[in-house]
Amino acid sequence: METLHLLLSGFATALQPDNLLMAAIGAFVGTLVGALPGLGPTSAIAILLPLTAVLSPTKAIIMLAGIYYGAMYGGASSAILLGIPGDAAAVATCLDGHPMAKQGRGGPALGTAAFSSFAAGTMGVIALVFFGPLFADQALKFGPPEYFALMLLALTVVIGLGGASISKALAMGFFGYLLSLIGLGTMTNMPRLTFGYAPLWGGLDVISLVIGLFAISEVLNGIEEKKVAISMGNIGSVFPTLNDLRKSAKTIVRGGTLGFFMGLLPGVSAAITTFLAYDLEKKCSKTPERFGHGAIEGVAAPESANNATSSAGFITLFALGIPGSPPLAVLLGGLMIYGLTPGPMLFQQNPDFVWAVIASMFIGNAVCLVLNLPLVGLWAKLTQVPFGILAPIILLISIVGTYTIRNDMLDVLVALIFGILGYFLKKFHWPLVPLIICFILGPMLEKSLLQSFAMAFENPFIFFQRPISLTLIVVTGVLLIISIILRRRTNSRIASSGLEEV
Amino acid sequence: MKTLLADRIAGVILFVIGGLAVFEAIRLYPLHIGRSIVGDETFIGFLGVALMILGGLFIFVFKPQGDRQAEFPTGELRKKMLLVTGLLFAYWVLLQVIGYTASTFIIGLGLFRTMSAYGWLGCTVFAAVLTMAFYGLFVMWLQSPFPEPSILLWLGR
Repeated sequence: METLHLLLSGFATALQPDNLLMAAIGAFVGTLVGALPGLGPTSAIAILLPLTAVLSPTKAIIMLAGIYYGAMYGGASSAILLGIPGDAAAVATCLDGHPMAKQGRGGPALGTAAFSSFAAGTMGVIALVFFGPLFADQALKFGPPEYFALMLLALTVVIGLGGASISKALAMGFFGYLLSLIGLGTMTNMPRLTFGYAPLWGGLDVISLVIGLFAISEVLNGIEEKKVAISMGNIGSVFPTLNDLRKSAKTIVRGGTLGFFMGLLPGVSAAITTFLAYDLEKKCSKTPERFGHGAIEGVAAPESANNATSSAGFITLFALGIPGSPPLAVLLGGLMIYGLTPGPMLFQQNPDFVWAVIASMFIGNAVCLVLNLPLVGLWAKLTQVPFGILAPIILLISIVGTYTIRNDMLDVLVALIFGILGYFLKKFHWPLVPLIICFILGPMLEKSLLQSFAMAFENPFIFFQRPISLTLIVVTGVLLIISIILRRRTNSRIASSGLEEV
Repeated sequence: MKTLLADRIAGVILFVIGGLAVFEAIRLYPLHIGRSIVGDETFIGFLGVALMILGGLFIFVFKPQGDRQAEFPTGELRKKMLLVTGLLFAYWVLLQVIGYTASTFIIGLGLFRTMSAYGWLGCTVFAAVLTMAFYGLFVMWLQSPFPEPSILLWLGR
């Protein structure tokens, strides 16, 4: 009952006209940037994050929720219309979405994607309402050793999102941890890893890293790939037919349920669940031969799984502080700008704020559907804007946006350096997401480690002597094995799809 | 196409970064508070050792994947990419020297001219529109305090 009351109060905040406007602006610009070919939702959120920096925390987070859902949907647009997946999670959508677009049925494919995303996203957010507080009830039992074990659990995400090589993922993660320690020490407050350069005492800002690695490097790659505008033919009516909806209804429920429950496991990303949902749907179908040639269920299954996994990711993000996907890692960086530190204490310490965010997710998701169905034609036209016009705009907005976060020119320099570094890392297939996740979690990991030792009088076995931390360590081991098996399976599916891993 | 044995080079870089972290941990150790076995240097030292081990594995143990060679741009494309990168760093300098509005216009013009197929006139129009739009967004709406142009200080204002 208390949960319902808090949720209603969250809706009261999120439904205020100015907050609603922020959700609409967020959804609009999120879709706009997410729909740009090859950019993907992670880059879209990274580019747009600074725009929210000057808003009040509630408005900014509401706008972020809109940007998140908009960018996720925008990513599906370029995957369907152009066959260019912005991230690995969109590869499965390409398999049938792009053939549909080629057959002049891009409209229904986009409409189905929007509807599937909305339905599964709503299911996921409803589940978040019920599951979140359950986790929160355990919050008071969490001490530093439990937090430390929780941070270890995040390593499963690093492995899960690390691409083809576990050793590369670990190396990038350790490098991310190291970067996060630049600045003043936790115990002595003395500068460390600054090598005598005083401007580094304040540490590196996560947004400058995110913008460098995901926005600037993406544009540099785009120049090299000679991205050009691609002319689309008629995309057809945006509204799916009754037959399409009938075919998709069960698919959405199956894909959404699978995506949600698999997404609750840290380390199981949307890239994995989209392919699982696609394969499940193919197995359930009486006409599996249609898959790969423009089957509407082939769009509905991965899209619903994608959005449900993202929503489930919010549970692990809010309740455990672990981002389960690249867009959520960037979103976590955004939430932390506003002093919101996800983790077990979040529901206890900031209930009003959290419930306003959850309500704004409902609204962001709904606004996305309302905006996207009529504007599908606009998103299709957007893919025809020359890259030579878009790229300078993205680069300048990235640089100015980075500056506006802390009004510090050092952040701009850091973004530029990491932009170039990101370009080379991508070239040589070094995963970027582990770096960001570990950069975000690094200070928390160190703090919980030091506090654990202090409270245990230097006993290093404290992590195995407390039930919750021991359970978390065992779960980490089990999940590591599961995520490695699933990741191998997904990599082989992506390879067999004929699309390059992104 | 060049085979750079990239993973081995990355291994060397990781080893050097790890070495620097260990060096920093050793420097920090005397600053320890009390007799605690952990301090500001503990995590840094652990990461340093881990990175050195991983670096060593990349250099000596893991075999570079021969089928994953990196292709780098050549000719005009390379020039274009270097110019774009140079313009971005120039923007960082100019923002502090001539201020936000003038630098945005100049660098915007340079980027449009380098990356798009339009002529000088078209690019000037694009750059002007972009500068005005950004001015409205960042200066008038978001009221971001951009750095004071240092050229004004040099001119004695």
